Amino acid sequence: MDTRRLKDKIFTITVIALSIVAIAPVFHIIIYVSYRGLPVIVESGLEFFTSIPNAVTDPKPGGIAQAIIGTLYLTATASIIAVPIATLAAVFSSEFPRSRLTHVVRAASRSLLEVATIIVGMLVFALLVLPTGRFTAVAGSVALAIVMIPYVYTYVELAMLSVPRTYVDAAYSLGMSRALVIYHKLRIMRRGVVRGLMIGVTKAMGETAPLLFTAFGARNVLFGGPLEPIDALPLMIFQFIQTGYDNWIKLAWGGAFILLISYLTLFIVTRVLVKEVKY
Amino acid sequence: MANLKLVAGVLIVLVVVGAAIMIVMRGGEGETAQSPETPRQVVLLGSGATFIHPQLDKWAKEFTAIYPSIRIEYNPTGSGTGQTQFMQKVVDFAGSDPPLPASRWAEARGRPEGVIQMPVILGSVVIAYNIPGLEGRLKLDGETIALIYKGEIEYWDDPRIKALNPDLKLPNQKIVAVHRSDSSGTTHIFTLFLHKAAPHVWPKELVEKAIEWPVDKTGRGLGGKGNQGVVELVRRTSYSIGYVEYAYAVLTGLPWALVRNVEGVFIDATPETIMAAAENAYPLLPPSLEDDFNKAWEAIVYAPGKNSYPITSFSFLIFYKVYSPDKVDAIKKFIEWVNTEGQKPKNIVEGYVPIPESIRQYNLRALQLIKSSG
Repeated sequence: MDTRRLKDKIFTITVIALSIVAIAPVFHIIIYVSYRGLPVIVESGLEFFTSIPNAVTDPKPGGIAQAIIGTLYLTATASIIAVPIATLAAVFSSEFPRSRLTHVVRAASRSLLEVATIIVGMLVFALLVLPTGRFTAVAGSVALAIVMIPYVYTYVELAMLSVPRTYVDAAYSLGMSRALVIYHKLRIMRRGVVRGLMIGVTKAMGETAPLLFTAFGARNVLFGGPLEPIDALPLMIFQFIQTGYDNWIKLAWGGAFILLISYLTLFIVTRVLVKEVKY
Repeated sequence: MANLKLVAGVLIVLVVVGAAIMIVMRGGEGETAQSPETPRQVVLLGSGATFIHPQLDKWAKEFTAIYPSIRIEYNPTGSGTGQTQFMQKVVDFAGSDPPLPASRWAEARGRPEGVIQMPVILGSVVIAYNIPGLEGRLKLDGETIALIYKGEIEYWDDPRIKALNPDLKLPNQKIVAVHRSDSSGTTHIFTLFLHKAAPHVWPKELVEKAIEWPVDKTGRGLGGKGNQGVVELVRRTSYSIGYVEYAYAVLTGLPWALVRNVEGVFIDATPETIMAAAENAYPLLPPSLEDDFNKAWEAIVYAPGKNSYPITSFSFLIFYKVYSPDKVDAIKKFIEWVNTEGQKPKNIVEGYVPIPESIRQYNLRALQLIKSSG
């Protein structure tokens, strides 16, 4: 074998090895969380999805229904607030890249990305919780929406801007209205747009810090309504894992497993459903 | 084609999520609308100390089982945050390991809502150790522990430790002193004990929730986050010592030392000795629940009495004096229940120690103090 081929082999093997090292933590997380979480769900059975956590003195751990419901509710309502605002803002700034407003929006979005999410929580605490004297699910939704907006905005704007100029020119020369052009741009770039939405949704699902001072957590009821405190999976995991009690540590691992499964499903489903447009 | 699939997919997801939320909303309403005479469940929100969280959650569940129209939700945000949120009036009560500091207490006392504090459960700190092959129980006093954490006692077979343990075969190994790396009430109690037991070794400046540990400078100190972190480090490090919350230590199976109390007795941490310390500190509680509790809180550490475990502490609940008409009865019922039924063994979580009868009666005076704003 000549040295050129040998070098090539060595290089290829090195690249493969380094890639494995790079993605190994992901597999480690998936395997370890499943190893700790899955047995809990098997042990609790259906109760895991229908009941609230038991007291630490109980022989069985109970369930995390209130946290699953809370995370579903908070993510859904935060998306309802964040997605229209972020998408419209992204469309605006991609259509009017030179506008002064675009510069302001871009700067605001970029700085929001930089801000620690606990600050968002404290801001919403000051604006919604302090004046009303009440922790509410609504405050949690608003806090998560603020966390989501810059992610969705950035990805959707990027997608819009990556539509080739020639396509846009062609569309206009065919006499399409601006609205129709925007619609087609979003359609062509749907993979990027959906990726933005997904990043936003997963971000909202996994956040603990903005919820600490807003949604607060309520574990002795399945769902108390929008004007009551509400639980969420990451919040529950965070608070249960640091106790010394078996029941709660088990529920925390079970919750982590559910969160992990939700991420994987979201990503796989969108990958399969949203096909790349060939042009 | 891809487009159709996408639309179908999105629709399915929307329908499923929508249906789930609808079901849940209706379920929730069904639960809040209990019975005709109690149209809405009263929710009492508490926030604060992580220490009391498992116990308070147990109380909340047992209490609601008896009074279904009242629900209690407690968020373990930490004693400091709990106090802040109490002052901001965004919670109905707070949990705190130390009582309100004098300045905060004075501010709260001066407001129309007022303030009532009460010790509802006991905690204590044990000195856990990991000495492979050691037979028998280690005995320590405040001074030797202080010297270990100062870095001045270096080896387990130091004459000063040997003098306390004449019948133990102590190894000639360096001591690793494990402490908390985060700010913690446990550290506060522990350092307060060291200062009270050995003021000439452990100065007042080293009594805090977080301090610069002298032993760290010798390279034989280790910091762990939370009780969990300290336990892990002690378990993994041979010849180490660490201070851990009793409620946590009983779950781990690590051995802990007998500690010498004021009367010179080497005493084990058990529910009886911890309760004895509280009983002996009872005369030092302030005359009224509306008073400043800082002196009482310091008095239970290194409390007098032959049977008192010396590193014992109160954990407090903090209430207002005035509540809105819809909450005032719920709060009173909760205070009454916690200080009667709640202190019975079946409602106490393993590792927690109930308050003695005298203090229960003392706390029940709150029922006369609490008023409705309407």
